[in-house]
Amino acid sequence: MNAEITLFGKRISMASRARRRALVVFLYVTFAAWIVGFCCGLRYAFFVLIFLYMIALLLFSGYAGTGAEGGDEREIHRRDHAYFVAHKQMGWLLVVALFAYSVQGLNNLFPQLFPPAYRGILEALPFGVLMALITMNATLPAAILLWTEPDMEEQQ
Amino acid sequence: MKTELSIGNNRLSIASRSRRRGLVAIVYLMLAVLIAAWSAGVFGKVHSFAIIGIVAIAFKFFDSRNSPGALLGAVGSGDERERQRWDHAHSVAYDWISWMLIAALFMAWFRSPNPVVPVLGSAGKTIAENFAAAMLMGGLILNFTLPQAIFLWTEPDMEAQQ
Repeated sequence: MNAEITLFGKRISMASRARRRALVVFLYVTFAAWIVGFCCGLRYAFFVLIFLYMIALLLFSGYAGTGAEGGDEREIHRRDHAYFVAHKQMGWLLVVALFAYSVQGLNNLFPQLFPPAYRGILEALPFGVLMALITMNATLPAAILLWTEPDMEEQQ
Repeated sequence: MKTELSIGNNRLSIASRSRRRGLVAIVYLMLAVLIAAWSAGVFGKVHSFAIIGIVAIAFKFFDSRNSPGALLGAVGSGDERERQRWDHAHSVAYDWISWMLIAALFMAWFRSPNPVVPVLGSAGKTIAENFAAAMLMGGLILNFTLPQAIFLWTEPDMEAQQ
């Protein structure tokens, strides 16, 4: 893991754990805002939100990497353990995704069950949850590493 | 890891790796057939019960926490070396689940207005519309069972119990 990130030629120190955690929070907050915007059918704000999310995702993946990089034995063990922790959480997210698909089914089976105002949200829900699932799947192990690593020494 | 599998009063030796691999292949084949049957609409609207049944069967064979038929020790237990192997098995399994989710995302397209589904017959339409959920179901089952299956698949031959 690098102690700094380069953004438009400018170097930003990521040695402190608080900054790394802020990056993780920024990623997930922008993602949540985008998904809520998508499910609620926002128009113009949706494009602002997706732009913010893309910036957060580029920053995150540029800093955290793909997870397939090499490293010494200790580093590989820590990465494997992050996958172990992430794997457990993915089970719950998969259950939520299947439930979201069932809700859309209920929407079709019992149209009178949900008020018309919510039907659009329910129809967009499975895709929103699926996107959330894939984003979490792609980022969670790296996010766990960024969140849990202690403060590093600043690069000279 | 146990060297025998108890089914009723019968004991089946699974000390050899080839037998364990055979067991893993049979269980996943059964699960694949069940999911395919569900996505073809065989189970109708009772898919929630199918999910619970499928996962319960898979747990019976692979999981370790409570089941008396479990083959392995508790996930993540053991000495440091064994925990590292569990961690590695989870990281390998994670990649497979990622591919299932990407497939589900592509298949979700069939549930929105598209030019393919109207051309298909009623059976093809049911399969196409259920495909994303089938991938998610597969992902869920892999999430619960794949690390244990990797363990069973990769462990070398053991000495049979006397």
